[in-house]
Amino acid sequence: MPDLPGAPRELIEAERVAVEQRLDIRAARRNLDAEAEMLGLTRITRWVNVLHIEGIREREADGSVKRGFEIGINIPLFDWGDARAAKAEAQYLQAALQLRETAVNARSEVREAWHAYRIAYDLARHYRDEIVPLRKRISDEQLLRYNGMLIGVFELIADSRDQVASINAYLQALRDSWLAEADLQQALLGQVGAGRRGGVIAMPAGGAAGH
Amino acid sequence: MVTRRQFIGRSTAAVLGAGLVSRAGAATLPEAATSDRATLVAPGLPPNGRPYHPVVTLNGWSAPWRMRDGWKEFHLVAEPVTREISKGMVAHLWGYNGQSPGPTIECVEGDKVRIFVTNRLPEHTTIHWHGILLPNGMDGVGGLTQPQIPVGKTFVYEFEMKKSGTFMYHPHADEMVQMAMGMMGFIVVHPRNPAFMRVDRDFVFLINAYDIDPGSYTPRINTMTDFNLWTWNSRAFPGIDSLVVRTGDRVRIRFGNLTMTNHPIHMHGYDFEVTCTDGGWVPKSARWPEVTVDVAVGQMRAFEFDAAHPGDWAMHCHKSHHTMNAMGHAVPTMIGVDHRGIAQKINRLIPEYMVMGDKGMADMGEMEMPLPENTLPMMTGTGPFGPLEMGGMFTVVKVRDGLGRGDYADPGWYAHPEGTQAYELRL
Ligand SMILES: [Cu+2]
Repeated sequence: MPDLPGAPRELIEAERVAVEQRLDIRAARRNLDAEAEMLGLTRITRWVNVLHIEGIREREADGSVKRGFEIGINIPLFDWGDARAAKAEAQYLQAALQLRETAVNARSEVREAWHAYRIAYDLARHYRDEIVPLRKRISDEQLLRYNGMLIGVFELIADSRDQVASINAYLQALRDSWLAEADLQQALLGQVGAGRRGGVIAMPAGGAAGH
Repeated sequence: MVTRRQFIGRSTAAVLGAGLVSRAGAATLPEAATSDRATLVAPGLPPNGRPYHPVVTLNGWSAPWRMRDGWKEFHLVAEPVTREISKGMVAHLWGYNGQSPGPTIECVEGDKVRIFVTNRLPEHTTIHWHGILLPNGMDGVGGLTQPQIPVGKTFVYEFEMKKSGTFMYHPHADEMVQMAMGMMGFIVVHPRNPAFMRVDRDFVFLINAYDIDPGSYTPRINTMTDFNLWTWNSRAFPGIDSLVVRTGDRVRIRFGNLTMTNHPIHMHGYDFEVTCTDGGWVPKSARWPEVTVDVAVGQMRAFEFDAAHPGDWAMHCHKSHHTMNAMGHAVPTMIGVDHRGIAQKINRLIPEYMVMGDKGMADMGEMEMPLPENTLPMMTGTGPFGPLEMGGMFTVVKVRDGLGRGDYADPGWYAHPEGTQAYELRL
């Protein structure tokens, strides 16, 4: 099993990738474009953004400010012309709102998957950077105490068992973090062939596979 | 050996360096000599006042004084100190004038003493003069006979030493904590007649105990009985000075017990008589010969003998756990346990593991295993014939021919005359 990546994925980056590559968003967009073509809408009057996400401006430790950026899905609005076109307007707007719904749901899925991923990542990192080294230090000290006949061999072995358990717990957490990573990758693509909208893709960590 | 003059000279600088006594205060306060070393300072004769034969404080020294208008003035500064318990371990304690226990106060029956007590602890304190007959208001019981001495303040105690004998001083304010932190000192009041109860060598020490977790420095102040360091003058074997004696000397050894349990103090090679208790001198008709004298909590005892037998004579508390350093009282007995095959299995889990205790614990006296930081081996010390396997309240009375009168320097190990030593039977 590979070790944890040095830094976790950023949420805003995940959202950007998702908006770019999610199949359901791309399908809804195609649908909207096709609708406009079918209805013969050609005279664009203005553009609107149906999904607006602003990147967070983060202040770094050295005081510099990380640049924020925006993610959006811009669609054109048209000159609807006379009253005869009212139906066309309604049909187009329906497709536009479906695109918006798809995008909002997709974003929600990605955020959910990202949070599960980030918790699993942080947990694995905490085991790796804090708990396992602390357990090792405790074991080293326990051996020194055994040397000085301050504790007996049974306490030494029991402590060794605790140390082994902490390493097992780390490996478990690392595995969970890779499963959550896979779930996040899935959420960035959207469901394939599920035919279901707004479903939660992320699996509960450690749920399915057994140990 | 540090001479008295050098010693006081060094301590002056230390006091001024501390800079805590105000200039106005410095004009009226006597110098507070200080030392952070656990080195025995051989006694000198008193520079003024009534003559006496000074005592020797194991790993310590006696406080200098200033004579002013017929009063002997001492200055004790209660403060946090660092004390080396034995080589390889230091304790963060509270004490007086740079060390725990504080300097021994020596004066003479009939002396009027004025003792300035400056509090540099983080909390209030007092000093109780244990066993001294004095006016009630000088007894030093916080809340009862005086307000406690606040942080940063100096109180003055004045009384006359009405009788000679063996006494102690210790706080009577947050007393449990302050004594568990090492605050105590010895007081010797010499007889007005220097010929009365005259001895050639007069040793003093306080019996104290600490509970310092392996790897730490500050005593656990809430421990009641399960201490892990049993000390004399806050030193454990092999850190306790030997008692160096010239053959033929009349020797007195005085000690006071400020731990939470009794200590049967045993000396090899001699029988002795207790000649002084906390209440005063014992009449000759009331003494009986002993080889072990029990000193209960809060008591003092002084025994005397004529040093007729040269040798290295062990002197120790006879509670065998009190001649050990930090150890695990819950460690299971491994004697008789068959370890075959087990050690290899444990080694796979813990590579540095070694079987210990399956043939008794004498291994501990020989092996030098890595131990927790700032921790003394449970049994340690090396003599001329191998490991001594001791710790805590153990030292050696070294009786030798032809030593100088004031010579307390370690004479080395005893050379046994031919035919006077146990030998191996060879068949
Ligand atoms: Cu004892």
